[in-house]
Amino acid sequence: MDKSNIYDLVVIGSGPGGYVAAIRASQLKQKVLVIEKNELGGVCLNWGCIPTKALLRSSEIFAYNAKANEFGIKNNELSFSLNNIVKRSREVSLKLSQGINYLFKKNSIKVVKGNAYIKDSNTIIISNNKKDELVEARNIIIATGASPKLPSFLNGKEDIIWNYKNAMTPDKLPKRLGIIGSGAIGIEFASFYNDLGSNVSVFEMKDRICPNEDHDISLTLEKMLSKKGIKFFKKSDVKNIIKKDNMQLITTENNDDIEYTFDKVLVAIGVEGNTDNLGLENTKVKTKNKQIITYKFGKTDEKNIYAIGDVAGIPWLAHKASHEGIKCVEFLTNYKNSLEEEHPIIPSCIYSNPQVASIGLTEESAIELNKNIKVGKFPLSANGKALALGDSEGFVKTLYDGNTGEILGAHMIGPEVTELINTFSLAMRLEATEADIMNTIFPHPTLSEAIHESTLDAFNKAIHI
Amino acid sequence: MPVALLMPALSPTMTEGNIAKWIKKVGDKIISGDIIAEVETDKATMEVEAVDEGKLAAIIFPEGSENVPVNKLIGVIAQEGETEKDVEQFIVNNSDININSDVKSDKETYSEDEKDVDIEVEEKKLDDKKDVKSFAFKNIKAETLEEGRVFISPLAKRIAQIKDIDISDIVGTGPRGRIVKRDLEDVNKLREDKFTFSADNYQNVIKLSNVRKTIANRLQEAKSTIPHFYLKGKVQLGSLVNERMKLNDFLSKNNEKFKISYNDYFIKALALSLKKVPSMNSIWNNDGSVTQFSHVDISVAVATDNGLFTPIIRKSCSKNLETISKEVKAYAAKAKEGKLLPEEYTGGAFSISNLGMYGIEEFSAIINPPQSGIIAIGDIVDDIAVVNSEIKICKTMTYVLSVDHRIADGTTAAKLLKYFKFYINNPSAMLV
Repeated sequence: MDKSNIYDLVVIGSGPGGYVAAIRASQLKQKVLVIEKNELGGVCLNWGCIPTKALLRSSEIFAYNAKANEFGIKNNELSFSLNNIVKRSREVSLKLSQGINYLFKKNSIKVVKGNAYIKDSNTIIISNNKKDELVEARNIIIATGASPKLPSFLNGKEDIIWNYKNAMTPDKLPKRLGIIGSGAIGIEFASFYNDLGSNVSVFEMKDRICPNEDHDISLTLEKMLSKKGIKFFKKSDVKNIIKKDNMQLITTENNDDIEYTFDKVLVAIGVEGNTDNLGLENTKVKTKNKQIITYKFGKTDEKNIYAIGDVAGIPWLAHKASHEGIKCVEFLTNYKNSLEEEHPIIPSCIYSNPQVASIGLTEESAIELNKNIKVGKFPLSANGKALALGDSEGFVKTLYDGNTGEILGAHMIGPEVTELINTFSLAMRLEATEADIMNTIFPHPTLSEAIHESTLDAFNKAIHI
Repeated sequence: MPVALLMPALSPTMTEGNIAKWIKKVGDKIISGDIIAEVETDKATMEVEAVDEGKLAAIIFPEGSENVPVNKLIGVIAQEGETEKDVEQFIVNNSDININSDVKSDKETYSEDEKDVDIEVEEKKLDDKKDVKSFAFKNIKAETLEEGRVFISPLAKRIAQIKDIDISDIVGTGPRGRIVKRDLEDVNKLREDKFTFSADNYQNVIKLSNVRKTIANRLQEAKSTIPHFYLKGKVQLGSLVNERMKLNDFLSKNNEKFKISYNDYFIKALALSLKKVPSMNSIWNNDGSVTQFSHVDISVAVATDNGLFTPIIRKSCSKNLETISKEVKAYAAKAKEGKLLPEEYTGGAFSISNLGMYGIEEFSAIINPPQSGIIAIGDIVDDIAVVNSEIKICKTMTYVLSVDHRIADGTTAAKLLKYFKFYINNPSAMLV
């Protein structure tokens, strides 16, 4: 084989897992090739995290302007252009995707566009319109990400519904929007379209929305979003979607079939790993339910093949993928100073209006684990900055181990809480206890004071409640 | 001036002791010769006798204090006319004496009531040692500076305090060797693994006595550093059984209260054999030399509830069976009461251990360092033997000799056993 086609590391996929792994590998003097079949940056940059945040920024500004009166501002002729909102969102994505291109160049990482097919554990065939190319890899990282999962009744008629890509690039605002699934994606789109004026209904199979969050968060989020006009149908098993003139959504609730009519239906019931057509059958890599089975540092059952990010399983979060990418590369290059970490503490965020951010155990899971816990809760209505912002609904909830003072978890809902959660990421990483949070001086007036007060409350010392 | 009561050195090897009991209380009058306290050493419990007179004015280390270094102030005797102030001043003046710092009997626990109490471990200000260049992250012992600071996360520190874990020995796996929670979990798991036999099993963590600790350390060292080799033999006891019966009959007819045991014969036989093979009557010195003795001093293993003791029958060659028998009995009784004196169990070049009375037919013993060997005596059983081309059933005993190969080779040791067997076969030769 031509020596130029032999690489230390081939990364399949350039999302937040793949591109970060590639850059780190290059820093560690590896000759790296990245294979990407779509846009650089993967779903996160192009069709996920980033463009949705851009959309939500527009709807948020629109929503604030709609209540400008409350702030003493007259703004009687408020309107928006959906096209421009979408255009802006695409521009933000494009800018970041180009940024990845720049980073690859800077780090001398070669990128080839095309489909990657693993021929054997050291050989990959890259096929695109032009030709098939054969490359040899000492190590391979699979970072192919995930795609939306669809219910089986939609087999063959996927076109009638909206997936997140469609929901991100609407040409027209749907008057009535049905959303199946109340996870982060469902809730963010519900918030976006509701703020812009759509009539939004969310269907959830479980008995509460965002069922993975702490129950306090689920309840408060539902209350706050309902007040804004979003309808929630819980314990709803969607049986079928039919397209007549409009979309007909049929659900079963309490054994009764009910029919709802929408202009668009967004299905957001989760994702599944992109494991197909990769040639995994030519390797010892094992998969289960479209997820590559991995071990420490992203190791798979094939010695020199690793998997990171969404394709390696939950949680489907970009920051988890990036973290795994770095750990994996440092492991396979024998980087001495890499810190071993068996159970990283991964925060998660929902960027709806209000925002939700959480980390660690929920109260239910802590109780299930038989933990002696202390729970603190501080409402933003008692926080000066939140009142000044005119955004004082929500709370910061904290969970501590009653024996050791270990921080077990934190759950927040309200304005900008996604920017607050990293306090806990860091504190938990550094193994701070309640005493460290209590002895930390939080600036006044900030929303972050709620973290302090919530901690004080867990030990019956809160000042402002 | 008040008189210092110091932790006595009860044997040359003793470096620390436990306060087993205070016989006298603070305020009690002391006269010379009074027993003030009992100190547990690595081998026995010893009494601390008063030399001076006065009043016990202060107890520095309470009952149960462990590992108090030799010569540490453990109490103060005030003489007539001396006030409490004098005593306090005396204690303060002995500034090297670190009162109670080693003896925290009350474990600190973290509870809500105490949440405001500062439970930080001593932590002095760190010098400006911001050495960002050194990235020694993995598996290094937590970096300790001269000031004694151990890098540990706040949570790990709290857990260590609650669970009473000594962090100075823990290898941190966090950034730059910082001790983190999981490092303590390993410690806990180790502790649990040691004492858990099944998940629902009753767990009992037994704190080792000094005696047990010493045994553990010495045997660990012996078995892992001494190159043992083993020689096994069998001997028919026909003549010895007859000889012993006659002798004991004679003793009882003469109203003697004692009987000679088989073990007494074995000790004597071993002693005489060692006399014949003097190179085995020696000890290994740590500098690589060997010291050979002129007298044969034999350590006799005595099992007690508190552990194994090895009182010494000195000059056992020149002692008759009666003397040996009486000495062994007296030492065994003393050992069981924990009252053996250091000089009664220190020394000796060779040991004998007998598990015959427990029905053990043969076993191999670990050498008691720095001795050259130990003979393990098994039970006396009826065994088939060929005597004069005839199959006979004979009283038979199996013995296993463990030898330090650094001191002796196989042939030398075999020679020793040849004599040993000879004396057992010919008990009258022991009289010569």
